[in-house]
Amino acid sequence: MNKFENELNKGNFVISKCQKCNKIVWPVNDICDNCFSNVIWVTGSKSARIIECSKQKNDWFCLVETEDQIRMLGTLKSDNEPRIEQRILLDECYFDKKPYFMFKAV
Amino acid sequence: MNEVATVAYGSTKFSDDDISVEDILLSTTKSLFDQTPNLSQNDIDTVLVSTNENGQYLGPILSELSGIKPNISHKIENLCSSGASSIVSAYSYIASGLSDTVLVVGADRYDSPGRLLEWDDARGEYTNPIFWASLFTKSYKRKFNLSEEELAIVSAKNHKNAIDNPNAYSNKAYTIPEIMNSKQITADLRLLDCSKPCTGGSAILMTSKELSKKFTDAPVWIKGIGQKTTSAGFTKNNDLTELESTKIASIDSFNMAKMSPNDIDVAEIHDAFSICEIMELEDIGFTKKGKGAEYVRTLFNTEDKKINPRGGLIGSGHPLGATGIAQTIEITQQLQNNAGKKQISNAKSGLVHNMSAAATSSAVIILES
Ligand SMILES: [Zn+2]
Repeated sequence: MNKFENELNKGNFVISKCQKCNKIVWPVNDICDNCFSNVIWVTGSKSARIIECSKQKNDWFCLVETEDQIRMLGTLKSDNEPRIEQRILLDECYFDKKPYFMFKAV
Repeated sequence: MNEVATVAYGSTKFSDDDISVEDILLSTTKSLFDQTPNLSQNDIDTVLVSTNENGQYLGPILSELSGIKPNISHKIENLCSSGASSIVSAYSYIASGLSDTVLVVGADRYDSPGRLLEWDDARGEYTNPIFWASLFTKSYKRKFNLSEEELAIVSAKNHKNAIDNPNAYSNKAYTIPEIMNSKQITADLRLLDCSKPCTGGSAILMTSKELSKKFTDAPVWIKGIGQKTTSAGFTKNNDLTELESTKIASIDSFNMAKMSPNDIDVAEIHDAFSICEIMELEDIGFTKKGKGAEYVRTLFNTEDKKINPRGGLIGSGHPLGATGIAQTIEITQQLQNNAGKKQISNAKSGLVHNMSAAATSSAVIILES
């Protein structure tokens, strides 16, 4: 398990950031895709906005963009249809063969 | 550069059969030899295998099983567009003079590992393609007021076209209401909006101009190729209502062929999901942005088979590594005036569009009789 997966399992959302050019490398990796320097691991922003969403059974699944300007697919528990650009927060995350990201409305 | 032709082909029926990829590859190769009387194993100097299967050394294994001792032989894996990637590789070998006669064989099983891209952590738990397809659909509905009925017409058209394709997985026509009432997969996607990963194989023989005459009186020429990879991960798509890699690959292929979308008589395009066909018609340049659904409705109402005459992926099924090759075979048959009930009258130029992983990469191939 890599650092990202280990930390997700502790409920921490960490992402990789280049120690030389400061670029966020996403999906996470040990080497920067811009300058090939090593990354450091930093806490990712939990604040995000909805880019698009749809629904499967009772859960909304959304493409979101966090304040670090990275995008991911996550679950949003909400009784109402989410709005594009709606602000949401990463509420829970873990890793079980793949990452799970659960968001909540602010 | 040497000119490159497609000259012969073979195929299995697309099915749910539980057979090994080695067996599919061999029966597909046998089908090609059976249909090509002048072909002997010694004619082939390159064997390329297109598959997402994890099996080792499949190029040399197929070569041995078929009694071929090629100079070059290897496997090509590029998810759903492995087939077009293999044809582009074959083209390059022949155009450069490294090969004269290339056998390209694609095969996958219904449970192909290529159905999911494990690498993309940004997809979170939503690894299945149905999720990006739902978001494409929702985004397009939002921007262009696409209706459920307009979406269903894509599937109705392609299932109807597949009835005349003897190798298709599905030979059943569906009404628009049947499609609109098929099993709901997500709020924005129904079962009959989806292509089905299945078992199947397709093979094509490609040669230089000099050797083409040995195998056919009607070689079909590859005139244009465009390919673009924008990323591997779905979430790098900036705009969910357009396929950036398809736009770029299309422009490059038309430039190479010195043609425009108006010159194309028939096309096989990658309808992994209904929404894909609508977006591709726009991004390849057959119609304006936002007009893809109207274009499909006209084809359906006039029984015009110009787009996806063999039934596309939705009607024919999607044996991943075989799909791009099956598309190219269809266009070859069309340009040879040999497509049976699927035939577009007087087709001279055709286009193949094959893509992978939410259009993070696309390949476009233009052919001419
Ligand atoms: Zn860097």
